[in-house]
Amino acid sequence: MKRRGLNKKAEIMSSQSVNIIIMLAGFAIVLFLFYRFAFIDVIDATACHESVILRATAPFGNKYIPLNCYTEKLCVTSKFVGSECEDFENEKGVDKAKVEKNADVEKLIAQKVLDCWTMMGEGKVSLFEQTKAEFGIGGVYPSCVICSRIAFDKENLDSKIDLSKVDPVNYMNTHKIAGTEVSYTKYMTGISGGFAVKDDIKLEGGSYKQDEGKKDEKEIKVDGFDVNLIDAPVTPGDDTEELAIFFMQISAPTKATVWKNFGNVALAGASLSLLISPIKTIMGAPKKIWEAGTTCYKFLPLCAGIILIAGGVVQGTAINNRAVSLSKCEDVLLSGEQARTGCSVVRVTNYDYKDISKYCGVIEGFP
Amino acid sequence: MNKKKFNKKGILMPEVLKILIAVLVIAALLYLTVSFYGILMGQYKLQQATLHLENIINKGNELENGGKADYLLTNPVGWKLMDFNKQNEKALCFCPEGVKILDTLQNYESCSKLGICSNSKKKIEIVLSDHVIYLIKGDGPKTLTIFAAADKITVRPYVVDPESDPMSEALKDLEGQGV
Repeated sequence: MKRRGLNKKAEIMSSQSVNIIIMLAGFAIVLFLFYRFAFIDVIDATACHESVILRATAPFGNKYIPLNCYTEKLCVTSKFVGSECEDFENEKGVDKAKVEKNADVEKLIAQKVLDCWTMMGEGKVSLFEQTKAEFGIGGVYPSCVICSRIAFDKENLDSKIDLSKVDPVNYMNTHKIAGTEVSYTKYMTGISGGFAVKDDIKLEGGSYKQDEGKKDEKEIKVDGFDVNLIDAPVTPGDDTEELAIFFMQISAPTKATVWKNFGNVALAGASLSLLISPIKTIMGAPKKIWEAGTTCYKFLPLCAGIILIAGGVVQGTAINNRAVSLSKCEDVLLSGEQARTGCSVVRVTNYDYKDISKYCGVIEGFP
Repeated sequence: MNKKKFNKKGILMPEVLKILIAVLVIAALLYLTVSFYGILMGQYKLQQATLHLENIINKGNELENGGKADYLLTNPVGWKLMDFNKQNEKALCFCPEGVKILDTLQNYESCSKLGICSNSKKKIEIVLSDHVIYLIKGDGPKTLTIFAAADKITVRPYVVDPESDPMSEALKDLEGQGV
Protein backbone atom coordinates (compact mmCIF):
# COMPACT_ATOMS: atom_id res chain seq x y z
CA MET A 1 0.00 0.00 0.00
CA LYS A 2 2.76 2.34 1.01
CA ARG A 3 4.81 1.37 -2.01
CA ARG A 4 1.87 2.04 -4.33
CA GLY A 5 1.49 5.50 -2.78
CA LEU A 6 5.14 6.20 -3.41
CA ASN A 7 4.83 5.16 -7.05
CA LYS A 8 1.84 7.42 -7.51
CA LYS A 9 3.87 10.31 -6.08
CA ALA A 10 6.70 9.55 -8.47
CA GLU A 11 4.25 9.44 -11.37
CA ILE A 12 2.81 12.81 -10.36
CA MET A 13 6.29 14.27 -9.94
CA SER A 14 7.45 13.08 -13.35
CA SER A 15 4.31 14.31 -15.12
CA GLN A 16 4.69 17.67 -13.36
CA SER A 17 8.31 18.01 -14.40
CA VAL A 18 7.36 17.12 -18.00
CA ASN A 19 4.71 19.86 -17.88
CA ILE A 20 7.21 22.33 -16.47
CA ILE A 21 9.75 21.44 -19.17
CA ILE A 22 7.12 21.81 -21.89
CA MET A 23 6.06 25.16 -20.45
CA LEU A 24 9.65 26.38 -20.27
CA ALA A 25 10.31 25.23 -23.83
CA GLY A 26 7.13 26.97 -24.98
CA PHE A 27 8.18 30.12 -23.20
CA ALA A 28 11.63 29.94 -24.80
CA ILE A 29 10.03 29.55 -28.26
CA VAL A 30 7.74 32.51 -27.60
CA LEU A 31 10.74 34.58 -26.45
CA PHE A 32 12.74 33.54 -29.50
CA LEU A 33 9.90 34.52 -31.82
CA PHE A 34 9.48 37.76 -29.91
CA TYR A 35 13.08 38.76 -30.57
CA ARG A 36 13.21 37.18 -34.03
CA PHE A 37 10.41 39.36 -35.33
CA ALA A 38 11.77 42.46 -33.63
CA PHE A 39 8.61 43.28 -31.70
CA ILE A 40 10.91 45.29 -29.47
CA ASP A 41 10.98 48.00 -32.16
CA VAL A 42 7.19 48.12 -32.20
CA ILE A 43 7.15 48.37 -28.40
CA ASP A 44 9.74 51.17 -28.52
CA ALA A 45 7.75 53.07 -31.14
CA THR A 46 4.51 52.65 -29.19
CA ALA A 47 6.12 53.76 -25.92
CA CYS A 48 7.55 56.79 -27.71
CA HIS A 49 4.23 57.66 -29.32
CA GLU A 50 2.42 57.33 -25.99
CA SER A 51 4.90 59.67 -24.29
CA VAL A 52 4.41 62.13 -27.18
CA ILE A 53 0.64 62.05 -26.65
CA LEU A 54 1.05 62.39 -22.88
CA ARG A 55 3.30 65.41 -23.32
CA ALA A 56 1.03 66.98 -25.91
CA THR A 57 -2.09 66.64 -23.77
CA ALA A 58 -0.63 67.68 -20.40
CA PRO A 59 -2.49 70.77 -19.19
CA PHE A 60 0.71 72.50 -18.05
CA GLY A 61 4.43 71.93 -17.63
CA ASN A 62 4.47 69.53 -20.57
CA LYS A 63 8.19 70.03 -21.13
CA TYR A 64 8.77 68.10 -17.89
CA ILE A 65 7.19 64.95 -19.27
CA PRO A 66 9.99 62.77 -20.62
CA LEU A 67 9.89 61.61 -24.21
CA ASN A 68 10.45 57.87 -24.03
CA CYS A 69 11.98 57.64 -27.51
CA TYR A 70 15.03 55.53 -28.32
CA THR A 71 17.06 56.03 -31.48
CA GLU A 72 16.81 53.00 -33.70
CA LYS A 73 20.14 51.82 -35.14
CA LEU A 74 19.77 50.17 -38.49
CA CYS A 75 22.54 48.45 -40.40
CA VAL A 76 21.67 48.06 -44.09
CA THR A 77 23.24 44.95 -45.53
CA SER A 78 22.65 42.21 -48.10
CA LYS A 79 23.75 39.42 -45.79
CA PHE A 80 22.46 38.58 -42.38
CA VAL A 81 25.33 36.37 -41.26
CA GLY A 82 28.76 37.94 -40.79
CA SER A 83 27.64 41.40 -41.76
CA GLU A 84 28.46 44.46 -39.69
CA CYS A 85 28.29 48.20 -40.12
CA GLU A 86 31.55 49.91 -39.27
CA ASP A 87 29.69 52.96 -37.94
CA PHE A 88 27.98 50.86 -35.30
CA GLU A 89 31.12 49.13 -34.11
CA ASN A 90 30.94 48.40 -30.36
CA GLU A 91 27.40 49.73 -30.15
CA LYS A 92 24.53 47.79 -28.64
CA GLY A 93 21.01 47.29 -30.01
CA VAL A 94 21.80 47.39 -33.73
CA ASP A 95 19.11 45.95 -36.03
CA LYS A 96 19.84 44.70 -39.50
CA ALA A 97 17.82 45.41 -42.65
CA LYS A 98 18.37 43.13 -45.62
CA VAL A 99 18.23 44.77 -49.03
CA GLU A 100 18.69 43.34 -52.50
CA LYS A 101 18.13 46.28 -54.80
CA ASN A 102 18.06 50.09 -54.85
CA ALA A 103 14.29 50.15 -54.40
CA ASP A 104 14.65 48.25 -51.11
CA VAL A 105 16.93 50.99 -49.74
CA GLU A 106 14.54 53.69 -50.97
CA LYS A 107 11.58 51.91 -49.38
CA LEU A 108 13.46 51.49 -46.11
CA ILE A 109 14.31 55.19 -45.87
CA ALA A 110 10.78 56.22 -46.90
CA GLN A 111 9.28 53.90 -44.28
CA LYS A 112 11.56 55.19 -41.53
CA VAL A 113 10.73 58.80 -42.43
CA LEU A 114 7.02 57.97 -42.25
CA ASP A 115 7.45 56.06 -38.96
CA CYS A 116 9.26 59.03 -37.45
CA TRP A 117 6.52 61.41 -38.60
CA THR A 118 3.68 59.28 -37.17
CA MET A 119 5.55 58.45 -33.98
CA MET A 120 6.09 62.14 -33.23
CA GLY A 121 2.45 63.12 -33.73
CA GLU A 122 2.48 64.11 -37.43
CA GLY A 123 3.30 67.73 -36.60
CA LYS A 124 -0.16 68.21 -35.09
CA VAL A 125 1.04 68.76 -31.54
CA SER A 126 3.40 71.19 -29.90
CA LEU A 127 5.98 69.10 -28.06
CA PHE A 128 8.72 71.46 -27.09
CA GLU A 129 7.36 74.23 -24.90
CA GLN A 130 9.48 77.37 -24.66
CA THR A 131 7.62 79.37 -22.05
CA LYS A 132 9.94 82.39 -21.97
CA ALA A 133 9.67 82.86 -25.73
CA GLU A 134 5.86 82.87 -25.44
CA PHE A 135 6.30 86.12 -23.47
CA GLY A 136 9.02 87.57 -25.67
CA ILE A 137 11.68 87.28 -22.98
CA GLY A 138 13.67 84.32 -24.24
CA GLY A 139 15.04 82.98 -27.49
CA VAL A 140 13.71 80.03 -29.50
CA TYR A 141 15.69 77.10 -30.80
CA PRO A 142 14.64 74.00 -32.69
CA SER A 143 14.24 70.80 -30.69
CA CYS A 144 14.68 67.35 -32.18
CA VAL A 145 14.25 63.66 -31.58
CA ILE A 146 16.55 61.38 -33.56
CA CYS A 147 14.27 58.53 -34.67
CA SER A 148 16.75 56.42 -36.65
CA ARG A 149 20.36 56.11 -37.59
CA ILE A 150 20.99 54.23 -40.82
CA ALA A 151 24.43 52.92 -41.70
CA PHE A 152 25.50 50.87 -44.71
CA ASP A 153 27.53 47.68 -44.62
CA LYS A 154 29.29 48.49 -47.89
CA GLU A 155 31.40 45.33 -47.86
CA ASN A 156 28.37 43.10 -47.92
CA LEU A 157 25.98 45.14 -50.02
CA ASP A 158 24.71 43.41 -53.13
CA SER A 159 26.56 44.41 -56.29
CA LYS A 160 23.20 45.38 -57.82
CA ILE A 161 22.90 48.19 -55.28
CA ASP A 162 24.31 51.55 -56.31
CA LEU A 163 23.89 53.94 -53.38
CA SER A 164 24.55 56.99 -55.54
CA LYS A 165 21.42 56.16 -57.55
CA VAL A 166 19.14 55.64 -54.56
CA ASP A 167 16.40 58.30 -54.71
CA PRO A 168 14.02 58.16 -51.74
CA VAL A 169 12.29 61.43 -52.72
CA ASN A 170 11.21 59.95 -56.01
CA TYR A 171 10.16 56.77 -54.23
CA MET A 172 8.00 58.74 -51.80
CA ASN A 173 6.39 60.66 -54.65
CA THR A 174 5.61 57.61 -56.74
CA HIS A 175 4.83 54.84 -54.25
CA LYS A 176 1.76 54.28 -52.12
CA ILE A 177 1.94 53.41 -48.44
CA ALA A 178 1.07 49.73 -47.92
CA GLY A 179 -2.66 49.32 -47.27
CA THR A 180 -3.58 52.83 -48.40
CA GLU A 181 -4.29 54.59 -51.65
CA VAL A 182 -2.02 57.56 -51.03
CA SER A 183 1.65 58.09 -51.68
CA TYR A 184 4.12 58.75 -48.85
CA THR A 185 4.38 62.37 -49.95
CA LYS A 186 0.62 62.90 -50.13
CA TYR A 187 0.09 61.29 -46.75
CA MET A 188 2.79 63.27 -45.00
CA THR A 189 1.94 66.60 -46.54
CA GLY A 190 -1.83 66.24 -46.29
CA ILE A 191 -4.37 66.34 -49.10
CA SER A 192 -4.36 70.13 -49.32
CA GLY A 193 -0.66 70.37 -48.72
CA GLY A 194 2.48 70.04 -50.69
CA PHE A 195 6.10 69.90 -49.89
CA ALA A 196 9.11 72.01 -50.56
CA VAL A 197 12.53 70.55 -50.99
CA LYS A 198 16.01 71.79 -50.51
CA ASP A 199 17.45 72.00 -54.00
CA ASP A 200 21.02 71.30 -53.02
CA ILE A 201 22.03 69.08 -50.16
CA LYS A 202 25.71 68.59 -49.84
CA LEU A 203 27.06 65.33 -48.53
CA GLU A 204 30.61 64.67 -47.55
CA GLY A 205 32.34 63.87 -50.79
CA GLY A 206 29.28 64.39 -52.95
CA SER A 207 26.12 66.37 -53.40
CA TYR A 208 22.54 65.71 -54.30
CA LYS A 209 20.61 68.10 -56.50
CA GLN A 210 16.84 67.91 -56.61
CA ASP A 211 15.46 68.10 -60.14
CA GLU A 212 13.55 71.29 -60.77
CA GLY A 213 10.72 69.32 -62.31
CA LYS A 214 10.18 67.34 -59.15
CA LYS A 215 9.33 70.38 -57.05
CA ASP A 216 5.78 70.40 -55.84
CA GLU A 217 4.77 74.00 -55.49
CA LYS A 218 1.24 73.72 -54.15
CA GLU A 219 0.28 76.19 -51.47
CA ILE A 220 0.56 74.85 -47.95
CA LYS A 221 -2.19 75.42 -45.42
CA VAL A 222 -0.65 76.45 -42.14
CA ASP A 223 -2.52 76.65 -38.90
CA GLY A 224 -0.36 76.70 -35.80
CA PHE A 225 1.35 73.38 -35.74
CA ASP A 226 -0.69 71.75 -38.47
CA VAL A 227 2.21 72.14 -40.83
CA ASN A 228 2.59 68.86 -42.61
CA LEU A 229 5.94 68.87 -44.23
CA ILE A 230 8.78 66.61 -45.00
CA ASP A 231 12.25 67.69 -45.86
CA ALA A 232 13.81 66.13 -48.90
CA PRO A 233 15.65 63.02 -47.83
CA VAL A 234 19.29 63.00 -48.69
CA THR A 235 20.25 60.60 -51.41
CA PRO A 236 22.93 58.38 -49.94
CA GLY A 237 26.01 58.81 -52.07
CA ASP A 238 29.01 56.52 -52.14
CA ASP A 239 30.74 58.49 -49.42
CA THR A 240 27.78 58.64 -47.08
CA GLU A 241 28.87 57.15 -43.79
CA GLU A 242 25.67 57.21 -41.82
CA LEU A 243 22.27 58.88 -42.09
CA ALA A 244 20.14 60.37 -39.34
CA ILE A 245 16.36 60.58 -39.59
CA PHE A 246 15.10 63.09 -37.09
CA PHE A 247 12.01 65.03 -36.21
CA MET A 248 12.51 68.76 -35.76
CA GLN A 249 10.07 71.29 -34.35
CA ILE A 250 10.33 75.02 -33.75
CA SER A 251 7.73 77.67 -33.11
CA ALA A 252 7.97 81.41 -32.66
CA PRO A 253 4.93 83.38 -31.50
CA THR A 254 3.86 86.47 -33.41
CA LYS A 255 4.18 89.86 -31.71
CA ALA A 256 0.41 89.89 -31.26
CA THR A 257 0.50 86.44 -29.61
CA VAL A 258 3.17 87.62 -27.17
CA TRP A 259 1.01 90.56 -26.03
CA LYS A 260 -2.03 88.29 -25.95
CA ASN A 261 -0.15 85.95 -23.62
CA PHE A 262 0.59 88.85 -21.27
CA GLY A 263 -3.11 89.74 -21.37
CA ASN A 264 -4.06 86.13 -20.62
CA VAL A 265 -1.77 86.05 -17.59
CA ALA A 266 -3.25 89.31 -16.27
CA LEU A 267 -6.75 87.91 -16.84
CA ALA A 268 -5.87 84.65 -15.08
CA GLY A 269 -4.44 86.60 -12.12
CA ALA A 270 -7.58 88.72 -11.88
CA SER A 271 -9.82 85.63 -12.06
CA LEU A 272 -7.84 83.89 -9.33
CA SER A 273 -8.03 86.98 -7.14
CA LEU A 274 -11.79 87.17 -7.76
CA LEU A 275 -12.15 83.52 -6.84
CA ILE A 276 -10.19 83.83 -3.61
CA SER A 277 -11.69 87.08 -2.34
CA PRO A 278 -14.32 88.50 -4.70
CA ILE A 279 -15.41 91.50 -2.62
CA LYS A 280 -11.89 92.65 -1.82
CA THR A 281 -10.92 92.35 -5.50
CA ILE A 282 -13.94 94.26 -6.80
CA MET A 283 -13.63 96.98 -4.19
CA GLY A 284 -9.85 97.17 -4.15
CA ALA A 285 -8.87 96.76 -7.81
CA PRO A 286 -9.91 100.23 -9.09
CA LYS A 287 -8.10 101.80 -6.13
CA LYS A 288 -4.95 99.80 -6.83
CA ILE A 289 -5.04 100.68 -10.55
CA TRP A 290 -5.59 104.36 -9.70
CA GLU A 291 -2.68 104.29 -7.24
CA ALA A 292 -0.39 102.66 -9.80
CA GLY A 293 -1.43 105.25 -12.38
CA THR A 294 -0.80 108.21 -10.07
CA THR A 295 2.59 106.82 -8.96
CA CYS A 296 3.57 106.41 -12.60
CA TYR A 297 2.38 109.97 -13.31
CA LYS A 298 4.51 111.29 -10.44
CA PHE A 299 7.65 109.79 -11.96
CA LEU A 300 6.52 110.07 -15.57
CA PRO A 301 9.89 110.01 -17.38
CA LEU A 302 11.09 106.99 -15.37
CA CYS A 303 7.79 105.14 -15.73
CA ALA A 304 7.53 105.87 -19.46
CA GLY A 305 11.17 104.80 -19.90
CA ILE A 306 10.58 101.49 -18.14
CA ILE A 307 7.44 100.79 -20.18
CA LEU A 308 9.17 101.69 -23.44
CA ILE A 309 12.28 99.61 -22.71
CA ALA A 310 10.25 96.58 -21.54
CA GLY A 311 7.97 96.86 -24.58
CA GLY A 312 10.96 97.24 -26.88
CA VAL A 313 12.70 94.18 -25.44
CA VAL A 314 9.56 92.05 -25.78
CA GLN A 315 8.93 93.30 -29.32
CA GLY A 316 12.57 92.87 -30.34
CA THR A 317 12.80 89.35 -28.92
CA ALA A 318 9.63 88.34 -30.75
CA ILE A 319 11.05 89.68 -34.04
CA ASN A 320 14.37 87.94 -33.47
CA ASN A 321 12.66 84.64 -32.60
CA ARG A 322 10.66 84.76 -35.81
CA ALA A 323 13.87 85.34 -37.75
CA VAL A 324 15.42 82.28 -36.09
CA SER A 325 12.34 80.24 -36.98
CA LEU A 326 12.54 81.47 -40.58
CA SER A 327 16.18 80.39 -40.85
CA LYS A 328 15.32 76.87 -39.64
CA CYS A 329 12.15 76.42 -41.70
CA GLU A 330 12.64 78.42 -44.91
CA ASP A 331 13.95 75.41 -46.83
CA VAL A 332 10.75 73.47 -46.27
CA LEU A 333 8.07 76.14 -46.36
CA LEU A 334 7.02 78.11 -49.37
CA SER A 335 6.01 81.33 -47.65
CA GLY A 336 8.28 83.36 -45.41
CA GLU A 337 5.41 84.22 -43.07
CA GLN A 338 4.70 80.52 -42.46
CA ALA A 339 8.35 79.80 -41.81
CA ARG A 340 8.51 82.63 -39.29
CA THR A 341 5.74 81.00 -37.25
CA GLY A 342 7.44 77.62 -37.12
CA CYS A 343 7.42 74.17 -38.58
CA SER A 344 7.50 70.46 -37.83
CA VAL A 345 9.79 68.57 -40.15
CA VAL A 346 11.28 65.12 -40.56
CA ARG A 347 14.79 65.63 -41.85
CA VAL A 348 17.29 63.20 -43.26
CA THR A 349 20.87 64.34 -42.94
CA ASN A 350 24.29 62.89 -42.33
CA TYR A 351 24.71 61.68 -38.77
CA ASP A 352 27.26 64.25 -37.68
CA TYR A 353 27.27 67.31 -35.48
CA LYS A 354 27.67 69.72 -38.41
CA ASP A 355 24.41 68.68 -40.08
CA ILE A 356 22.47 67.99 -36.92
CA SER A 357 23.56 71.19 -35.10
CA LYS A 358 22.32 73.19 -38.07
CA TYR A 359 18.78 72.10 -37.25
CA CYS A 360 18.76 70.99 -33.60
CA GLY A 361 19.44 73.20 -30.61
CA VAL A 362 18.31 70.53 -28.19
CA ILE A 363 17.96 66.80 -28.77
CA GLU A 364 15.52 64.82 -26.68
CA GLY A 365 15.04 61.07 -26.31
CA PHE A 366 17.60 58.36 -25.67
CA PRO A 367 20.63 57.37 -27.78
CA MET B 1 -27.01 92.20 20.72
CA ASN B 2 -23.53 91.14 21.80
CA LYS B 3 -24.47 87.47 21.51
CA LYS B 4 -25.70 88.04 17.92
CA LYS B 5 -22.36 89.56 16.93
CA PHE B 6 -20.50 86.65 18.49
CA ASN B 7 -22.64 84.15 16.54
CA LYS B 8 -21.88 85.93 13.28
CA LYS B 9 -18.17 85.56 13.98
CA GLY B 10 -18.78 81.91 14.80
CA ILE B 11 -20.29 81.33 11.38
CA LEU B 12 -17.49 83.13 9.59
CA MET B 13 -14.63 81.35 11.34
CA PRO B 14 -15.29 77.86 9.90
CA GLU B 15 -15.56 79.36 6.40
CA VAL B 16 -12.20 81.09 6.77
CA LEU B 17 -10.75 77.85 8.07
CA LYS B 18 -12.12 75.95 5.07
CA ILE B 19 -10.62 78.48 2.66
CA LEU B 20 -7.30 78.28 4.48
CA ILE B 21 -7.32 74.47 4.31
CA ALA B 22 -8.29 74.57 0.61
CA VAL B 23 -5.46 76.99 -0.16
CA LEU B 24 -3.01 74.82 1.80
CA VAL B 25 -4.16 71.65 0.01
CA ILE B 26 -3.87 73.36 -3.40
CA ALA B 27 -0.36 74.54 -2.49
CA ALA B 28 0.59 71.03 -1.36
CA LEU B 29 -0.80 69.54 -4.57
CA LEU B 30 1.10 72.07 -6.67
CA TYR B 31 4.28 71.28 -4.73
CA LEU B 32 3.75 67.54 -5.23
CA THR B 33 3.12 67.99 -8.97
CA VAL B 34 6.23 70.09 -9.41
CA SER B 35 8.29 67.58 -7.38
CA PHE B 36 6.86 64.71 -9.40
CA TYR B 37 7.75 66.41 -12.67
CA GLY B 38 11.19 67.20 -11.22
CA ILE B 39 11.75 63.55 -10.31
CA LEU B 40 10.58 62.44 -13.76
CA MET B 41 12.86 64.94 -15.49
CA GLY B 42 15.83 64.13 -13.24
CA GLN B 43 15.45 60.44 -13.95
CA TYR B 44 15.04 61.14 -17.67
CA LYS B 45 18.28 63.11 -17.85
CA LEU B 46 20.09 60.60 -15.66
CA GLN B 47 19.02 57.78 -17.97
CA GLN B 48 20.25 59.74 -20.99
CA ALA B 49 23.57 60.42 -19.25
CA THR B 50 23.97 56.77 -18.21
CA LEU B 51 23.42 55.50 -21.75
CA HIS B 52 25.88 57.98 -23.26
CA LEU B 53 28.52 57.29 -20.61
CA GLU B 54 28.18 53.53 -21.16
CA ASN B 55 28.54 54.01 -24.92
CA ILE B 56 31.63 56.23 -24.58
CA ILE B 57 33.36 53.82 -22.19
CA ASN B 58 32.43 50.77 -24.29
CA LYS B 59 33.79 52.45 -27.40
CA GLY B 60 37.01 53.36 -25.58
CA ASN B 61 37.50 49.91 -24.07
CA GLU B 62 36.92 48.11 -27.37
CA LEU B 63 39.41 50.28 -29.30
CA GLU B 64 42.82 48.84 -30.03
CA ASN B 65 45.93 50.81 -29.09
CA GLY B 66 46.17 53.81 -31.37
CA GLY B 67 42.54 53.37 -32.45
CA LYS B 68 40.18 56.31 -32.82
CA ALA B 69 36.40 56.57 -32.87
CA ASP B 70 33.91 59.40 -33.08
CA TYR B 71 30.87 59.60 -30.87
CA LEU B 72 27.95 62.00 -31.13
CA LEU B 73 26.97 63.26 -27.70
CA THR B 74 23.40 64.52 -27.99
CA ASN B 75 22.10 64.99 -24.44
CA PRO B 76 21.31 65.65 -21.57
CA VAL B 77 21.40 69.37 -22.19
CA GLY B 78 22.83 71.46 -19.36
CA TRP B 79 24.98 68.59 -18.09
CA LYS B 80 28.75 68.29 -18.40
CA LEU B 81 31.16 65.46 -19.04
CA MET B 82 34.10 65.61 -16.61
CA ASP B 83 36.98 63.46 -15.49
CA PHE B 84 37.96 63.08 -11.85
CA ASN B 85 41.19 61.84 -10.31
CA LYS B 86 40.00 59.23 -7.87
CA GLN B 87 42.97 57.95 -5.87
CA ASN B 88 45.32 57.58 -8.84
CA GLU B 89 42.46 56.41 -11.01
CA LYS B 90 40.47 58.50 -13.44
CA ALA B 91 36.69 58.29 -13.48
CA LEU B 92 34.56 59.73 -16.25
CA CYS B 93 31.44 61.42 -14.97
CA PHE B 94 28.34 63.04 -16.41
CA CYS B 95 27.32 65.74 -13.93
CA PRO B 96 24.18 67.85 -13.77
CA GLU B 97 24.02 71.62 -13.32
CA GLY B 98 25.07 72.58 -9.83
CA VAL B 99 28.10 70.30 -9.58
CA LYS B 100 31.24 72.41 -9.48
CA ILE B 101 33.90 71.76 -12.09
CA LEU B 102 36.90 71.62 -9.76
CA ASP B 103 38.45 68.16 -9.48
CA THR B 104 37.90 67.55 -5.76
CA LEU B 105 36.68 64.52 -3.85
CA GLN B 106 33.67 66.50 -2.67
CA ASN B 107 32.67 67.38 -6.23
CA TYR B 108 33.25 63.78 -7.33
CA GLU B 109 30.96 62.52 -4.57
CA SER B 110 28.36 65.14 -5.41
CA CYS B 111 28.48 64.16 -9.08
CA SER B 112 28.28 60.44 -8.27
CA LYS B 113 25.18 61.14 -6.22
CA LEU B 114 23.37 63.52 -8.58
CA GLY B 115 24.77 62.32 -11.89
CA ILE B 116 26.63 59.23 -13.01
CA CYS B 117 30.28 58.21 -12.80
CA SER B 118 32.00 55.23 -14.29
CA ASN B 119 35.42 53.67 -14.27
CA SER B 120 36.80 52.01 -17.37
CA LYS B 121 39.34 49.20 -17.71
CA LYS B 122 41.89 51.83 -18.72
CA LYS B 123 42.45 55.29 -17.27
CA ILE B 124 40.18 57.78 -18.94
CA GLU B 125 40.85 61.46 -19.45
CA ILE B 126 39.30 64.46 -21.16
CA VAL B 127 41.98 66.27 -23.15
CA LEU B 128 40.96 69.84 -22.45
CA SER B 129 42.59 72.37 -20.16
CA ASP B 130 39.62 72.35 -17.76
CA HIS B 131 38.79 68.65 -18.33
CA VAL B 132 35.12 69.49 -18.93
CA ILE B 133 32.90 69.13 -21.99
CA TYR B 134 29.68 71.15 -21.71
CA LEU B 135 26.38 70.42 -23.43
CA ILE B 136 24.76 73.83 -23.72
CA LYS B 137 21.07 74.38 -24.43
CA GLY B 138 20.59 75.61 -27.97
CA ASP B 139 24.06 74.58 -29.15
CA GLY B 140 23.10 71.14 -30.44
CA PRO B 141 25.11 67.93 -30.12
CA LYS B 142 28.89 67.55 -29.82
CA THR B 143 31.09 65.06 -31.60
CA LEU B 144 33.65 63.50 -29.32
CA THR B 145 36.83 61.86 -30.55
CA ILE B 146 37.74 58.87 -28.42
CA PHE B 147 41.34 57.77 -28.69
CA ALA B 148 42.94 54.69 -27.15
CA ALA B 149 46.57 55.12 -26.13
CA ALA B 150 48.73 52.42 -24.53
CA ASP B 151 47.60 53.00 -20.98
CA LYS B 152 44.66 55.34 -21.25
CA ILE B 153 41.63 56.46 -23.18
CA THR B 154 41.32 60.11 -24.08
CA VAL B 155 38.14 61.94 -24.96
CA ARG B 156 37.96 65.36 -26.56
CA PRO B 157 35.59 67.40 -28.68
CA TYR B 158 36.05 66.85 -32.41
CA VAL B 159 38.32 69.43 -33.99
CA VAL B 160 37.95 70.21 -37.70
CA ASP B 161 41.52 71.43 -38.04
CA PRO B 162 43.77 69.64 -35.53
CA GLU B 163 46.67 72.02 -36.27
CA SER B 164 44.69 74.99 -34.92
CA ASP B 165 43.81 73.09 -31.77
CA PRO B 166 45.69 74.45 -28.73
CA MET B 167 45.82 70.93 -27.32
CA SER B 168 47.33 69.48 -30.51
CA GLU B 169 50.81 69.03 -29.00
CA ALA B 170 49.43 67.03 -26.08
CA LEU B 171 47.40 64.96 -28.52
CA LYS B 172 50.38 64.26 -30.73
CA ASP B 173 52.23 62.98 -27.66
CA LEU B 174 49.35 60.71 -26.79
CA GLU B 175 49.06 59.39 -30.32
CA GLY B 176 52.79 58.72 -30.24
CA GLN B 177 52.30 56.63 -27.10
CA GLY B 178 49.50 54.67 -28.68
CA VAL B 179 51.15 53.65 -31.91
